[in-house]
Amino acid sequence: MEHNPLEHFLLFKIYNLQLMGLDISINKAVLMMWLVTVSVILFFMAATRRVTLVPGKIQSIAEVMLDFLKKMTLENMGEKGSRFIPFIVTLFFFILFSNLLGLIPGFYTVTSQLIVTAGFAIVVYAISLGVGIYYHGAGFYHILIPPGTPFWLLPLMIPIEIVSQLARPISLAVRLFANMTAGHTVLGVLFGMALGLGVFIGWLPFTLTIAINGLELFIAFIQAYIFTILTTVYLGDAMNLHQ
Amino acid sequence: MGQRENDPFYQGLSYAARIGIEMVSATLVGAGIGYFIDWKFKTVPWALIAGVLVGSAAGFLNIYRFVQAMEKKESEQDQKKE
Repeated sequence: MEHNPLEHFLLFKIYNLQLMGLDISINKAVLMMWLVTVSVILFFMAATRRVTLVPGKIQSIAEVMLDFLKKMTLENMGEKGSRFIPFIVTLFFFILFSNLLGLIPGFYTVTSQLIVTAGFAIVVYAISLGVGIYYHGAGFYHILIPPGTPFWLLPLMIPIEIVSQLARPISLAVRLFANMTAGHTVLGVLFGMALGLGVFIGWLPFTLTIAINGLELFIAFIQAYIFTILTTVYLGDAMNLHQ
Repeated sequence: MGQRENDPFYQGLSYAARIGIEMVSATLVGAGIGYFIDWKFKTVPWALIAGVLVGSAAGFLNIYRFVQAMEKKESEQDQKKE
């Protein structure tokens, strides 16, 4: 039985849609993003349906997560960071839900497309540049000069800092994309083995898929967490300039 | 997620996931800039060489800063415990 483990990353048009020469056709990834949005909204509706002083199961999960994200944002960005909490929370839950829903067999992982993660990373980086210019104006170029640099090192430090700044959105995008794609490729290979080997030996890779699925569940959390913590670190850097 | 943040295993895994790609992406960005300058000004291969060096320096710098911040955070946590 032929089986290509990378095949399930391919996207096909489900509904053809053109807008002023732009191809905005609907495909699996678009449908999944809608589903992710709807499920995040439903999750919070379920969490806040009956708000009690002693929280129920869903309410306490939501409360713990929100509290954690709030603490993380304030820690990395200082008091001024509180206005970014809604953005950080939205980002975290969108990435988390697209990672988690992608693990359900038959569903598509949106974050395994580089264009999606790159979109997030570029938006985050653009916001951090905007924040830096808003708070510091022209003085924002200080972000390229680490404190305590002697002036004769400047010709060396400025190019290094420019590269390290430019590497930020790329590492942000590639990390999430690579982790998701790698995990799902491993799952694809193992399922292919299980199908190809039949019942007698096939149970071995099939058991492994269950173990890997557990690991992926954990990676889904870790990656969403890393993406958001780095977002807060970058925004905090732009806001406070090496303090 | 709440209790997990203090578990050293999960913390180590999240550090490893962050550090690994930091190095690679900075080197690649430096190499990319060098390659572009070479292509634009026909200075093959000097800008590419300089770009890779600057890029890996930036990668090391990123990791150095990250580890420094982590150590600062950990020593603060230790002080809280005492």
